[in-house]
Amino acid sequence: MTTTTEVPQVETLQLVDGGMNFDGVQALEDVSISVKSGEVVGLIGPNGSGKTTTLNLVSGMLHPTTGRVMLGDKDLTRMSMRKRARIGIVRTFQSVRVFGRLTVAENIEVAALGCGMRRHEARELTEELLEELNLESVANTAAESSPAGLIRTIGIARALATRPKFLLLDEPAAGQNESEAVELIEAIRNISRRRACGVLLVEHDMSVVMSTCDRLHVLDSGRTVIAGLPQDIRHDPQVVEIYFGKRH
Amino acid sequence: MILQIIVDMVGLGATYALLTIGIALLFGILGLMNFAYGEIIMIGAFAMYLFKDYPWFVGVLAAVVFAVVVSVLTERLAFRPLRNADPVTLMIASFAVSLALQSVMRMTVLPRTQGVPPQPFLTESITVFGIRVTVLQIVTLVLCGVLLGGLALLMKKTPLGVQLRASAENFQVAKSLGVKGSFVIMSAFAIAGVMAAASGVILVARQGAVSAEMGLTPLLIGIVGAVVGGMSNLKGAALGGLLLGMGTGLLEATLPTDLIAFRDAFLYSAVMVVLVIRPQGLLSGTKVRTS
Repeated sequence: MTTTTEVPQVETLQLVDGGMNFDGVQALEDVSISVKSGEVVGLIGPNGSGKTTTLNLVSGMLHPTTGRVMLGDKDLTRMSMRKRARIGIVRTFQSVRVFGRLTVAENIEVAALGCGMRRHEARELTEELLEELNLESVANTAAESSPAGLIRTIGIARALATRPKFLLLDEPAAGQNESEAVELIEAIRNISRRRACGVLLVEHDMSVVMSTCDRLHVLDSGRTVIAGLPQDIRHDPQVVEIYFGKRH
Repeated sequence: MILQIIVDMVGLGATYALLTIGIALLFGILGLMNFAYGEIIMIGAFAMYLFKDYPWFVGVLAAVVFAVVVSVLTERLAFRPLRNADPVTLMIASFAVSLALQSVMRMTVLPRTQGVPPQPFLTESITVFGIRVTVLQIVTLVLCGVLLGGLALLMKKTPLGVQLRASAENFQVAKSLGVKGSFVIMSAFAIAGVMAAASGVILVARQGAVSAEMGLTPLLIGIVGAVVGGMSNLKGAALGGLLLGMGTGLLEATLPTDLIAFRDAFLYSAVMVVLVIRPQGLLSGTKVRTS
């Protein structure tokens, strides 16, 4: 082992003036959002507000029509999703898309292998993650036979197996019951703290966002409405109108 | 008598299972219906012809090398540029590759059918409990067993296997987790090349000849077997091939002489019945890959 303990460097992942145009439809316009190591940033807004598009731009699934994606002072705008995964920017998917015919353990292992770990390293990390996320009991069953709530957890475990510096989570609590959601909040906060990993959380469920995030970013119709601390945003009249107003 | 038929059936079934696996492997991972697979078999068989004066294992080795190299080359030159293309485009490209390989071989080194004298030791037979088994049958069974078992182990136990299976299920998600898609695909083509070489070796030994067009029949058998068993599932594909081969053997042994000529008509009618009852294949789940 190394003699000097490495102090994890604080890095910033950001989308700068990001815009996305789908065949003439402006899905996103001049949205700037940043996440620092160890920070949980929530991205909220009504359906069609551009949350998932923003996540797609940051993860590299889509490339922005305008604006840039930066990690520190490195420009990632044209980098592929796979290469971003290899440098530690990893996403989950809204419809988790686990590898159904692989076992739960294999789902996690394949991500560790994908990011270049050796086999025994990958196995060890898989064991750790199975334990940390309470998946040990289902480790060797086919992922497709897991209940919906558990599948989201598998998706997160799988993303964590790449040892991400930044984790982009697309609606991780959707389809989970209340106790599962509470567990998930705990898990996300722990992930962020223990691994000094930055988390960008796209979420519908306001209670999840409020209790998990350090900062919030509110989108509507592809534009930023407001960004700031959760307690400030909760009472912002604009947010209440566009977000809470629609739901309650 | 019955045992003799069963032994012959299993031998043919194992041969067919090798064919279907090669087809299903590429289909499962790429959604590629590879019509050029028959030509890879032909290339393997051609290597056997080229090295017919050397000891048998030299020819086998050459067959593996030739088939793997050509299989990987087709990926690099023809299929990689079409990585994100529609499955139909890929299929048509594989037709083109198939025809190109066939024509090039016919124009250059294999203008007409060439005989490959069978290795004397392969035609010898031993009799156990009144059943006559040729060495070729034993070699076929062992080869198929080793290859299918080896492939199962590779898929189940190795890092490459896990990544292959993950990529087969969802290529994009696998890539989003850092899996090197290009490497995985190249490996799949290399493995398919090994399978094709084995099929080529067995075919040459059975037919005693090679020709540029010899890949067509095994290709059709491979596709039909894979469809019967379930295209996106290796176990199912192997079962489909095995059943198809055993069916062929059974019909050959039991049909009256006048009807032998219509063997394939009976066989493929049975295939149609199976597909009407289970259109997704025998062992496939209900999921059909759409992307």
